[in-house]
Amino acid sequence: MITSIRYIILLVLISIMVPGTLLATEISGRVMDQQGEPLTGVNVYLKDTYSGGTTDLEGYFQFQTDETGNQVLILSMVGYKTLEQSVNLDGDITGLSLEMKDDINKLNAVVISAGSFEASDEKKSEILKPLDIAMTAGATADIAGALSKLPGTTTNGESGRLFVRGGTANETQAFIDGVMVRNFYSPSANNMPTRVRFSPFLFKGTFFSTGGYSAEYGQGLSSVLSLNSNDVPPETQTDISLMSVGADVSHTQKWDDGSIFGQVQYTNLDPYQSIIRQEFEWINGFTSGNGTFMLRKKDKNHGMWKVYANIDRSGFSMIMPNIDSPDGDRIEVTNDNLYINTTYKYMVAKNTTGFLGLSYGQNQNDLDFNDLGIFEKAKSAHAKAYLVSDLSGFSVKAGAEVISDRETQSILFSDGSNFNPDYENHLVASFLESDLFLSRSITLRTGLRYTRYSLFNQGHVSPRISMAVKTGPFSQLSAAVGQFHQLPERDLLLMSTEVSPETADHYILSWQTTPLNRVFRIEAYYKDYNQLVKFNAEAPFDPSQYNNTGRGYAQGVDLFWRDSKTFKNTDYWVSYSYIDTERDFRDTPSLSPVTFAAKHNTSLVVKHFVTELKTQFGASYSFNSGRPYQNPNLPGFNQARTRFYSDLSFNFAFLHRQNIILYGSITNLLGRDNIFGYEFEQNAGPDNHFDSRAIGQPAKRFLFLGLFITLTKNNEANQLENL
Amino acid sequence: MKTKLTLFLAMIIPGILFAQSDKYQSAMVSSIDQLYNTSGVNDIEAAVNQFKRIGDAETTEWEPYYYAAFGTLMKASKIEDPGEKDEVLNTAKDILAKGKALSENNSEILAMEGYILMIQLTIDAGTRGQQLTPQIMGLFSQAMAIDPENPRAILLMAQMQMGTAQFFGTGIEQPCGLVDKAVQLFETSKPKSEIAPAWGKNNALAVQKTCAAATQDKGN
Repeated sequence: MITSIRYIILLVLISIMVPGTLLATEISGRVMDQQGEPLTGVNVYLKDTYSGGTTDLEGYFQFQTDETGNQVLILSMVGYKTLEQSVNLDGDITGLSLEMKDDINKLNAVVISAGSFEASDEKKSEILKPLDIAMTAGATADIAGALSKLPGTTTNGESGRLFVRGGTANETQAFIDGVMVRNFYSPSANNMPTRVRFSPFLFKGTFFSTGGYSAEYGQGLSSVLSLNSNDVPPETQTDISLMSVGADVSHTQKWDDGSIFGQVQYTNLDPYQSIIRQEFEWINGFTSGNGTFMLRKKDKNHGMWKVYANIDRSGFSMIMPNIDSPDGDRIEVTNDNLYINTTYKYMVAKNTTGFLGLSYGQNQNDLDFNDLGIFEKAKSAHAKAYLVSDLSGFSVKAGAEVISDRETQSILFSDGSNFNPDYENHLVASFLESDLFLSRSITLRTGLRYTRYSLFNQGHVSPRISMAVKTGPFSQLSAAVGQFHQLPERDLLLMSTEVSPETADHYILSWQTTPLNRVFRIEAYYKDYNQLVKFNAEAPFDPSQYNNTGRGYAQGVDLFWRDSKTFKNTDYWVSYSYIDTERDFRDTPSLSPVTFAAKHNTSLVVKHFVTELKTQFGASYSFNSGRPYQNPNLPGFNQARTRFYSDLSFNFAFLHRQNIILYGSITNLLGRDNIFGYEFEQNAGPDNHFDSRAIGQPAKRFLFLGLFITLTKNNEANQLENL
Repeated sequence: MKTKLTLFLAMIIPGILFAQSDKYQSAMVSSIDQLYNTSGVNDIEAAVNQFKRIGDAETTEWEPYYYAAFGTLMKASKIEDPGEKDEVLNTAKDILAKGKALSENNSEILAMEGYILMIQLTIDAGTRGQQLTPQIMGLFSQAMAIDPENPRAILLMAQMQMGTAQFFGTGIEQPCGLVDKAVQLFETSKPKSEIAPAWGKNNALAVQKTCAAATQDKGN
């Protein structure tokens, strides 16, 4: 019995001892980075135990443990490679000196900013915000309108399209979710401004490159505009918009891993144009009926499947003044457009993402120009696939794509004869691009793009290199050099079989600093155009004599300053661009200024929120120093300049309730009579003088009023549940 | 001899087991205490690291990750630079996701997830409001549906509603009612265990004061 009791006492003692009251071992040391700077906040611990410590401001750590024998010491911290080291705990380990290596990947590396403007809700240090596109005064929720308030662009008020760094509108290529969009703009007549077909509200991110862009993209001599459509929305909702120019209704149905969206839209400018005086004589104002469908589905592979489809019919008829004909030209246009885009992005393996994209576009124009009938039909398809691997120290993207275009035109003359030009081209391209993170402050991107055109039976290799070096906690210097090329414009391809792709080389040097809520960027560039399509001076109207001997250059400096800190509830940006550009192309006799670029361009955009009024007020002022035009009464080519361009616009958004927004805007408040160029008589008058007509704005101002209502089940449910 | 061996095992096994869970409990209690009573970024970091160690060693407990995420959120609230703040909050989300994987439909975890998003919302409310507000509200109401007595979920929901109510100039009576309910629950209900989340009472009392002041303003 006594033995039993002794035995039990012994056992009790042992069982108390078991959890470990052995003498503690001490581990201490210091952790540094590769540069020999102490690291703070490193978690230093023994694997699978609680024992560990955290490094202090000087990088020192120290902890005690009851573990014994051989153990694994782990050092872990975000942004560094986890370090594992075997230790033997038979005695104290002091004075350890450990070095952690940088773990640089896409997430913490320097992002190359040369030539690019990005608006997204995910990226750090963004320059633009998604809502900027929709809420910039003067743009009336038009994507191109908003982007033309950024440096590098020239406002061409008679076109409405984007003109980047001395490039034509055709030199900016648009993409939705990485896949090409051929008919980005609504139809319009010559010298009538158009708008982007796609509503900015359907996109969560915008990437706008004014040059030196990635090898992933092609077919834009000057610029790429890539829009990322919304992901699965947060909830099921119905949206109703009532606008001064039409109405739309949309519904989003959401379930756990996906959503569908449907929208119908009707636009009719007739009522508006009958109230507000227009400069042109409209027979039927712009009318459009439009349906949009979107599907989003997530799957188990962290994949996201997106479908975007848009079908649209629009048209108008009007009398366009013509200096040579007192009655003007009667123009009637009916346009049918279909665009379908589907993409699938998924995790192929850890750190590797795959992308598959497909788009199909069909655009049909039925145009009557006086007694001339023109029927155009364009079909285009784009298939694209790539893989991206994001690894420690570098990231690689490799992919291929096929772009097919086919266009036919039928021109019916009043005498019954007709002319039916067409063209077809299949482009096959592949690209390989790697981002090398040389250190936490240096990123080097090298890319190569190979393109082959069926139409010309020739291949092109375009190398592209860009680099960013961090010059301070918020600043970076970046540079980009690259070759870009593009199919000539459709009109040229239809008329001539003699033309081949045009090319441009970009050289960009950029410095930017982004301290808290502020951005400053200065960028200088030089763009060298070669193989531009040129007409034969002797026979400019003979397409069989077109050739690719044209050339040109554009150089300039862009400045951008944005500040949302200095003034309370106020966000503003200022942009300035100096563009010096000349071309010897198309019908120009020699290297001459171009009609679509102004020397000095500047914009000021301000947004101010008044809490008491629950209203955001916006204003924008745009100015350019006037654009060149050809005056046949003077010697030289494109030697004359228009007056300066100036526009002061306002908008407001009043949030009546969370789900009801009243929006209003007015462009050109001061009613300035902006002139974009002149049209001259074909034949000089008796005094040898060519008379002219100014090409101006379709109306002094554009007024817009809209009421946007969102109905959600959840919001109400939320409110009710908590009463 | 056989009985002695049984006795031996009967004594030592629970001893070890108890000691093991006791070790977890006591490590958690001291770490939680440390987290609640520090204010320096480096001290918070040290506590967070301790929770990560415990979490990685235990593999089945959600609480270490919950507190590690909470600590990371506390750290983020001390950072001024919006980009850096966002990155730290993303880390908090990643850590919390580990806990969420161990305990689904957990009212506390869902409330914490909403809380992290709420701080991310405040970084740029103008841009993020539309997308995040319904998501955050959804998380809080889910947390409240799972545990209607969770005072933290109720308090956070009230704060979220107050933000929107003030912005849109609607009354704050309803969220203030929720605050009262949260305060009452903080006073009456007891935490489910020593290591169960118990924070929030002081915040609730502070918000209650704001409510009282607002009502008084109206009265005058």
